[in-house]
Amino acid sequence: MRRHFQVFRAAARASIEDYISQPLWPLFLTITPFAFALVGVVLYKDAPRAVFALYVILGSGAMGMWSSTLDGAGYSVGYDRIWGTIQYTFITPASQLWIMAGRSLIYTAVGLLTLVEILIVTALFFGVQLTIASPLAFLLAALLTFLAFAVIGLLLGSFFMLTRVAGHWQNAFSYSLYVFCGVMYPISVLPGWLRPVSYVLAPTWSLEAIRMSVNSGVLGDPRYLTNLGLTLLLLALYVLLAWYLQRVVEHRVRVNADLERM
Amino acid sequence: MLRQLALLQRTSVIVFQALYSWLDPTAYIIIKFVVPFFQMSFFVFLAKFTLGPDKLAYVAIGNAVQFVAFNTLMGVAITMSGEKWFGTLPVLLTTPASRLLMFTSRATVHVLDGMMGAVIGLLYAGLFFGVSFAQANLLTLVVVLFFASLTLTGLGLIIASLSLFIRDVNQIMNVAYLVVFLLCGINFPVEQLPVWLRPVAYVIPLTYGIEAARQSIAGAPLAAVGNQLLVMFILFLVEGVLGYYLFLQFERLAKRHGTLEVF
Repeated sequence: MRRHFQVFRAAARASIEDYISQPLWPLFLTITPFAFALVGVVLYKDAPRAVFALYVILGSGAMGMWSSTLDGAGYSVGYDRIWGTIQYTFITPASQLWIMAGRSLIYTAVGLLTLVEILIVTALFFGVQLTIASPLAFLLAALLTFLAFAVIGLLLGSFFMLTRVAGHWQNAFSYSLYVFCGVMYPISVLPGWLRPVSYVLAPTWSLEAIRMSVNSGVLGDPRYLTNLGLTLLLLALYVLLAWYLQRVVEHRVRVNADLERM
Repeated sequence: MLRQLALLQRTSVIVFQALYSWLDPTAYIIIKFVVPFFQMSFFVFLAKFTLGPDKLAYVAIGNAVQFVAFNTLMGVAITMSGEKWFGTLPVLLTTPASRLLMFTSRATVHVLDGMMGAVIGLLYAGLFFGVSFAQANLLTLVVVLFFASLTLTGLGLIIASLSLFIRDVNQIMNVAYLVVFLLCGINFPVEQLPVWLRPVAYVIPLTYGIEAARQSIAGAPLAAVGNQLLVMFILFLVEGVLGYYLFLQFERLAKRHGTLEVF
């Protein structure tokens, strides 16, 4: 376990160094969700302040985390391929799963920048501020949302190793999660036949828990606890799936010898 | 002249194929069918919740027509940085080939494929989001889509020219697309923008294209959108000439500074 943690820490540190070497990169990673959140700002401008804060401010944070996670997962595989380093990460005894986990966590954290950007814009230009009545409940739900995105990034990292067009898949996945998880609207807006997809995505539940936490006395609320419980359950399933997928993918790319194919 | 046109056609097709790595059509299918569906869905559902069901058509049509930008802004812009990325740019620019041909071939096929993107978007709008085409004037719509696609290439070519001199033009391209996406009246009318931002919207041809497309779906004849088409064409000429001028200038600068291969 200590060995895995070392790999995790090294991957996280390498990702941080990547960002430091390109200081504008985090801004570029979050610019799309920021622009989309600005569309939300305009569309929600006549909505009650509380609704605005719930969907625009919190939604932009979720979009930023997701976009950054996805871009990071896709780019890290893509750049490893381009620079010719991908085969070295495979011939070391380090687990790919832990390498990806270290990277994924940092990418997700960088995505929180969108939340900061939108908080500033909405406070300065619209006078809207986010008030959290249950800070502990908020922190718990936010932490789970953060983990949910990071673990989905971990899952997709395996998939990106199999495809030449990871960048294009990134875009498709990014929009699909915005649609299904209800980042900027409640999932009741979706047609009934689409909602089952939302139900199997952990961020759907954790985002709902975050929205509930702006009210007071939420910690003991059974609906809040159910949202957290479902998020945790799905997270556990994702981790198992990521572990299994990683083994399958690793075996497959070694057999097919197509890891460096661009 | 005919020889030049044949050369333009061959070069355009090669440039287009290279962009999508046509050995594998997956990239094309994702960009043309999958991404537009989800992007449009997100904004349509957002509008449904915030503005109500009667605004769905407005947002769906706006999102459908802006898919021309995937090709004529981003696709065109990326062709030059692609040459740089794969190391073919210095070779390309040491040949005596016509720069005008080189420049225009970046955009030609994208104009048609951009139209195709908008048609796919409109198909989604009709099939999934209840946009009715019963009143549509199809001739006007086709002409408007052609103009919307053609005229945005001017902006795409300006950005493509930048990649001769700037290290990484892809981020500029993304920002340009987002500016177009925010300002062109796709999800809300231009009049809702702050006054100081509106002039930017009015120099982007797509602003007029989207409005003209909405009118043609409501049944407007070609003459009714004539003014918009004219403005779009004038903007295209201005931006195209500016793009070509920048292309020549940046080539000269990049050769002088030895930065053609920097990325």
